[in-house]
Order: sequence, then structure tokens, then C-alpha cells
Amino acid sequence: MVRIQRCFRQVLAHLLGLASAGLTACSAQQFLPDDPVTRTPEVAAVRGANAQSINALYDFARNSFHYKSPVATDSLGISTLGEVPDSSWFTNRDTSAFSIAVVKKGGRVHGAPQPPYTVVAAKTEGVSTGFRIRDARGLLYFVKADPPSNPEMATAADVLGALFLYAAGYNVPENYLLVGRREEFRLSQEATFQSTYGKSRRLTADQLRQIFDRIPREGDDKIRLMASLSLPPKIVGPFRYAGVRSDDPNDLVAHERRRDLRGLAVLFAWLNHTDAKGDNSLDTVEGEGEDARFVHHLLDFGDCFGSDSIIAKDPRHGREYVILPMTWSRTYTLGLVAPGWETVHYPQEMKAVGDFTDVAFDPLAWKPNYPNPAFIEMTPLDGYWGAKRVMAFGDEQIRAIVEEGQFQDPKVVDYITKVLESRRDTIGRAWFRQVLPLERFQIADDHLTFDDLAVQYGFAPSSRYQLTWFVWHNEAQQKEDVSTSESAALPNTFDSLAVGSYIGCRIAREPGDGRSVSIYFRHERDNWKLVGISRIAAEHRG
Amino acid sequence: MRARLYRQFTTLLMASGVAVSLGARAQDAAVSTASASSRAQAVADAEQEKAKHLVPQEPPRGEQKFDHIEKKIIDRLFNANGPSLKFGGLPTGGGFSLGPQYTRQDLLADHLTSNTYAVGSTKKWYGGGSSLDLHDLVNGHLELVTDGAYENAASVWYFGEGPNSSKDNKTDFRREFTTPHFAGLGHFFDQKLTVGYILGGLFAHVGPGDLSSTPTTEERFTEANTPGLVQQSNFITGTTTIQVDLSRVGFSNPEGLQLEADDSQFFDQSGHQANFHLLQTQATYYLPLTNGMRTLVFRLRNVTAFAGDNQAVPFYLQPTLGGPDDLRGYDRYRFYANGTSLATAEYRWSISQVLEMAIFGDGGNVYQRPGLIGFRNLRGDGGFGFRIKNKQLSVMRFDIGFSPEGVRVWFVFNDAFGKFSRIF
Repeated sequence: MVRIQRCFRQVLAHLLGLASAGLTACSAQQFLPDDPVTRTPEVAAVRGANAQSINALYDFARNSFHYKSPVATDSLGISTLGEVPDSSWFTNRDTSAFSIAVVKKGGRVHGAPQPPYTVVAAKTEGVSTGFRIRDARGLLYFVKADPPSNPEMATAADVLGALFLYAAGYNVPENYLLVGRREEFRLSQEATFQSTYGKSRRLTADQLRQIFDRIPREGDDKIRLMASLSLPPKIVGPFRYAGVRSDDPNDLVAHERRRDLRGLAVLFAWLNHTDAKGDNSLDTVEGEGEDARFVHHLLDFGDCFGSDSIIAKDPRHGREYVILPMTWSRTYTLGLVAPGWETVHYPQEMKAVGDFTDVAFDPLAWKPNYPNPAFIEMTPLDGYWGAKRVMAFGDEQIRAIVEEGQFQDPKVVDYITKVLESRRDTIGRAWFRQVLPLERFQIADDHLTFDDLAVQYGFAPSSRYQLTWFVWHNEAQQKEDVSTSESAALPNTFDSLAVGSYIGCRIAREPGDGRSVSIYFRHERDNWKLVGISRIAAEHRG
Repeated sequence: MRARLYRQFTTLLMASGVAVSLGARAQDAAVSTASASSRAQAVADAEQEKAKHLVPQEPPRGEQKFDHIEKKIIDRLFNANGPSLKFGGLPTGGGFSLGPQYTRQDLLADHLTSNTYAVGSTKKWYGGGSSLDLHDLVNGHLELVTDGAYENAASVWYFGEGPNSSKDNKTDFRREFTTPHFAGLGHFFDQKLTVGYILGGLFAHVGPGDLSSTPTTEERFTEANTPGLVQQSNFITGTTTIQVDLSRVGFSNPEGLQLEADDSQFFDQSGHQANFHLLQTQATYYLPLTNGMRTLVFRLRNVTAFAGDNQAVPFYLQPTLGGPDDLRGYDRYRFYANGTSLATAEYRWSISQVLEMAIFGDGGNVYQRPGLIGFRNLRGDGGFGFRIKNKQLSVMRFDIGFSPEGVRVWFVFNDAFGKFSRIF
């Protein structure tokens, strides 16, 4: 019976996978009347979804030993513009237009915990000191502390990581810094802790005092914590970076083929968020009845930047996987040939930074702690999408978010801001070389206009472009070349095209540059509407 | 701690095996739908279709199997709180040892740990013991331990006393130690300083070794040149211990200085004139290079037994040199004497986060009495090794040592520069 169920699930998954590709194209015609979609329609989630868990060791071993270099596959779940529509995974936020106040607030609507704080549970194991509190309003927060060796480092990383990823479009919990006095913390009579050996015991005042003793103090004897507001009560466990949830009707695209998860690798590389495993995510069911939806969150950013939660980040993190592939040449060179990143200088005088640098940062070679199924399948087009998200952050926005780390030493803010700006630009340079970074296509006054992001950001000099105009026969999915020139003016022959007709233009920079962009417009009553973008990357056809 | 590492390591091996054996269940999606009036409709139709056939979320098949193996086998083998298997637990040279143990770590609100075990090895060495460890008292500053143990080492090598003992005089003897201990330890400065006193007893018995290929010690040596060979004593022991850990956590190895000193008094209760005290001192310094990706490690160790007039140190309690933890190019227990000095240096470099290589050099000597401490009769070796790491700990070690006496290969489950191991 179980086997039959499994077979049924596999067949169904394939069928649904086929259907889900409707987001990218249909067989009868390439463009449908509602293209490009900006939001993925979603139906009501049924009740009774199971909470799943991920076996951390299995996940580590399987991904470490199993994944090699997969055959490149196109991303799914994207619009005909190659963009990710809004969904329960991702929301397109116009980061570059956000005001300083908006980026500082992020998705935080409930505010930091209000004193007095009632400790309701604690953990006595795990990588960092932590407990749970209810604030004066009765809201539940998960609380974590910094390691004594690096005050401010991990708590700031958790807050800043959430703010950056929220602004970039992802769902994250509300993370706050809590700076308070020990007297403001009370112990609930029902407070418990999970002992190392699995038993739930009552948490005593003595044990709580020992927990507080391990927390670094600020200059005025206050303690500094990171408080993460508990997500909605219906929690159904983490999501995996491969496959789909079988109990979520809206989860049609295999996660390793989602552009929003593949492209996340670029954002994680920027933030140096190396603990990119499924366990650091959480699915919840939000809403009731017809409004019930699975919502997919990213969690736990304590290892972003130079932090590894309980210690400064190991310089190998971000450069090498934990196990494979091993650099065997080091065995016979006695380790005397050091790669550049091994000898990088880290700001030891700023413990709050940890080991974070822009030196020897290679965004194309960046790695999480162990292979992530979605990241490893990232194509240049996914990387380009992620790089656009990163480049959308302006200098002032970066600084504004870093300031939310409430570092006592202003030099720490300066340093992290500078490194993030530098890493952002390195990402832009690297990925905008992979794909011709043309955006914001418009036809106005019978002329095509667009922006070259590489030129706009100063990564490349302005250039001339070769434009090949064509008529697109949507039903037959065939193009009919009309003219080739450097002129942005529409060919006169397009004047006679009827409403509903499609035209296109293939744009390339120069002969020998394998990159090109093909754009498609539909003739609407009084304008040409952009309906499709197709890009060819330098080395990979996306 | 060690048990937890074994458990994690074994679990990881199992996980990697299961992971490699099972392919990914990728759900390929191609580009095709039936003709649809709109993109949104096509997607909504697919979602509605899936909604009709939802099934509970389950982990992938390989993960389910692994979960099952972990819960039913691995957790039971390495159960930290209940019956489990104990690996190791015998002195160096005993071979691979294994046996049952019962551990409780949840007594008195996790303040009391009890452990009872019995192990046997491939070389027919046996041992067993029981302990009660009352820890984290007085805000984590006080620890009280009591234990009793029996150990039967069936074939300990003996080559004679002093630096000039001959490799050809290799013999073996059986060493049986029965020991009760009562220890009080104080931990201060966030466990950086530990001081304590251990009151104990030692009931010793020595007999012919178990190896048929090697002469027994009694066949080659006498009580006159090997005190304790015929007459063994029972002792009351008192050990003062101090450990200062000035190191900090590093990426591949600790960083900084670790100091250790033990002084053990042996009060002979059998009238065999074997009263003495044994002073052990050790300093280890870890010097990180290139952001901790390479490490230079230096260790100095001296162990000296001080015996009064007309008193002798039994050979089975004499300090020794040779083996995987000191002179790695020499046999285990190659040199016996009342004093040993050892200087070791290693250069370690990281191959990956879980594998480290090392080249090393060991130098040391043994001397008959404290006044002869110096650099006479130095013995040296060199070699290289691989280490399986869990952060800064070595879980497994494979060392090859070269010396004038030949090549020695060691495959052991400890750190080369570990803490003192007391045999009594």
C-alpha cells in the first residue's frame, strides 16, 4: 500500500511539474494574454498539514557526498520576463526605492519585547545560549546571546541578516535587539528546560542566573540579546531545498529549480550566510479557511557576516565545503602554498565584526557549509537575478540597516558597511559579466530604450548595441527577422501590425560577445507592452 | 565527550553510506501545458489538481531509513543515558576494545553521572569499572568523583630499565591493577583553572605475559634489576593535580598555552620498600598560523619518580617512553626508567575542515634518577600523519613514525597532545 502511495505521489509530482511550467510557457503559444504574471495564483491550503523535520546529519551527509555538478537546468516558477512573481515564497520589493525608515523597519511590525520579560523556557545545549520569553504584552520571543569572545557579533548578525533578506523579498521572522537589565527578567513558575538527556525539567532561578552569567555585559551592566518573535502558531517544519511539499497544493515547482531559491545563493554570498541548510527555514500555515496558505520563511541568521554564532567565522566558511571536494594538492605541498583567502587580515581589534572581509571574495566560487541542492543548480540567469537583488541596495540603505546592529563602536558600522558595499559591487561585476545586464525596456515614440546595469553602476564603459528586430508569430512560435542595425527606432514595417501582434528585438553588444537579450512586445491599443525577456548567458544558455 | 564524538562520527559514516546509495528523487518539470486561456489559470488548475491528491508530507525514503537506523541502532549503541557500547577504555597496547556500559547522566537534576562498564580487547586485555561523578556543584566550581576499576593488561611490553635497554630484550608481563579513587576537584575562571586532590588505593599484581611469541619478563629479568617483578605492593595514593588552560578555541586546533602538573604520592602498604612520589609536568603550546589554517604545536613533558633512601620504584609504575603518544618511531613502552623527558613538535595543516595533516618530530630520553635529568641518551624520531577532525578535536589519528629502530604505524582514537593518562 505504501509503495502504491509512493508511486502515485511520484507520478502526480511529474504531472504537476509539467503543469507548473505554465508559469514559463505554454505549448500552444508562447505568450498568453495575462503575461507577464506578477503574482502566482494560490489556492487554499487544506487543514491538517503535518509538521516535518529534517534529519540534520542525513541532510549534511547526503548533500555532501551525493551532489556533484548537476546538468544545468532552466529555472521554473518564473514569469515570461524571467522574474519571480510574488508568492508565498517571495515578494518583489522595490528595495532601491525604500526610504531609510522603511529599510530599518523591515518586516517588523510588533516591535521589540516590552519589559518586564518572563522567562518561560531555556535551552541548555546547542551552539549558543538561548531561552524563550514572554514580554509585557504576552508575545513570545526566542532569545539568543552573543559568545563572550565576540560581544554584539551574533546578535547583530541575526538582526541585520533578517533586515537585508526581508528587503530583498524573502519572508523572515521579526528579529530585534533587546538590551535590558537582569532585574527586568522574571522566571515563570512553569518555566522548563530540556535537559541534555531529553528530560523536561523545571527551570530554577539558579539555573537562569547561570545562563545570564554566560551573557556578555554592555558597559552600563546591561545585557544584550537577540529576540526573534515567534512565528504564527501553525508551524509545519522547515522546507527542503529539493523536491516539493506533498501537502501544499501551491508547491508545484521542485525547490531546486525555483529561481528565488537558486538566486538566494547570491544574497547569501553577499551576507556570507554560510549555514544555508533546510533546517534554517520554517514553513507556517497562515490564514483561515479559503485564505489559508503555506508561507515559507528563512530563519537563523546568526552566522551571517563574520559570525559563526558561537565563535568568529572560520575563514574556510564560504570558500570550501566542510568535506568534499578536498584540496588534495595540499597534502604534498605541506600546506605551504596558501590560497589568498587564508592569509587575509581580519579586523581582530573589532570583535563585533568577527571574520568578515571583502578581500579575496569570489562571488562565483562562494560556497555554503555544504552543498545546497538549489544553490548547486544555479545558472547564470539565476545568479543574475540574485545579483540584481543585491545591487538594488544603495550605500545609504546598507548603512541604515547596519546601524540597526546598535554597535557601541561606530567603527564597526563603518567597517561592515564598507565591506558590504565592496562585496555588493564585486557581485555586480561578476554576474553582470555573465549576462548582458539590460533592463527597463520601453518603447516610446517608436523608439526602444533600455538601461545597461553594468554601465549604470560603472562596471563597464558605455557601448553600442546591435539590434535585430523581428516579428514574433506567437501561435507558431516563430520569428521573422525584419532588420538589423544600431538604431533604436522601430522599423517602419511594424506600423502596419494589428493590435495583439508581437514584435521582438535581439540585442547584442558586439560580435564575439556570446551574450544577448531577446525582448518581446505585444501591440496593445495605444502602446507596446513588454511581455517577454529571454537571455543568453556567456557560457550557459538559460 | 568522547562518546558523543564517536556517536557523531559513526552516525555521519552511516548517513554518508545511505546518502550515496540512494539517488535523488528529482521531480523534473518540462515546459508544456494544455492550451489554457491564461497563465494564471493554468497554474491555478494545476494547484487545484494537486489539492485533490494531497498526501501527508514525509521525509525522502533514504532519510526515513536513516532515521530508523539512527533511532534503532546508533542511538542504542551510543546511548549517553542508559545501556550502550563502550569503545576503548584500556591502556595503550590493548588493541581494539569493546564492551557494554550503563551510563546515567540525568540523576540529581543532571548533577550526578554514573557509569559502569566492562570491556575486553582483541588482545585479551580486560577491564571494568564503575564511577559516580557529582558535578556542577557550588555554581559549577566543585566536582566530587568516586570510582573503582579493575584492569587486566595481559601483555605489557618490557625491555629492561634505562636508556640502553635493548630492543632485542623485548618481554611481556601481565599487569593487574585494582583501584578505588575519591576525588575533589575545583574549577575556576570559567573552567580555565582546575585544582584537585585524588585519594586512592592501588592493588597491583604482575604475572607472566600472554604473548606466546615473546618471552615473559620473568624469564629475562630478576627482582634485583626489575624491582616489583616478584613482589608487588598495595598502595595508598594521593594525587594533587592542577591544570591551567590559557588557550582559546581555534578553527582547527586550540590557540595558546595549556599547562598540567600532577604529583602523586605512593604509600607502600605491603612493606616492600616502594614508597615514592611521581611528579608529572606538561606544557603544550599551540601557535596558529595563517588564520588558524596551520598550527605549530610544541609540547614539553617531564615525568620523574622520587624515591627515598632504600626505597625503589616498582617497574610497573615507572614512567615510560615509546608509543603513539610520545616517541612515535619506537615500540610502545620501549623505555622504562625513573624519569622521562619528552619534547615534541608538530606542524599541522588543514586539508579540509574534517581532515588535517601533520609532520612531527619527537625527542626524549629516560634517566635512572632525578639528578640525571638532561640531554644524555636522547632518542628521536620523525614522521607524518593524518587526523580526522571535529572542529579542534582529533577524533581519529593515523601516524607513521620513523626512527633508528624502524617504522611504526599508529591508528588511534585520541589527540597526539592529549592530557596525562594515569595508569593507577
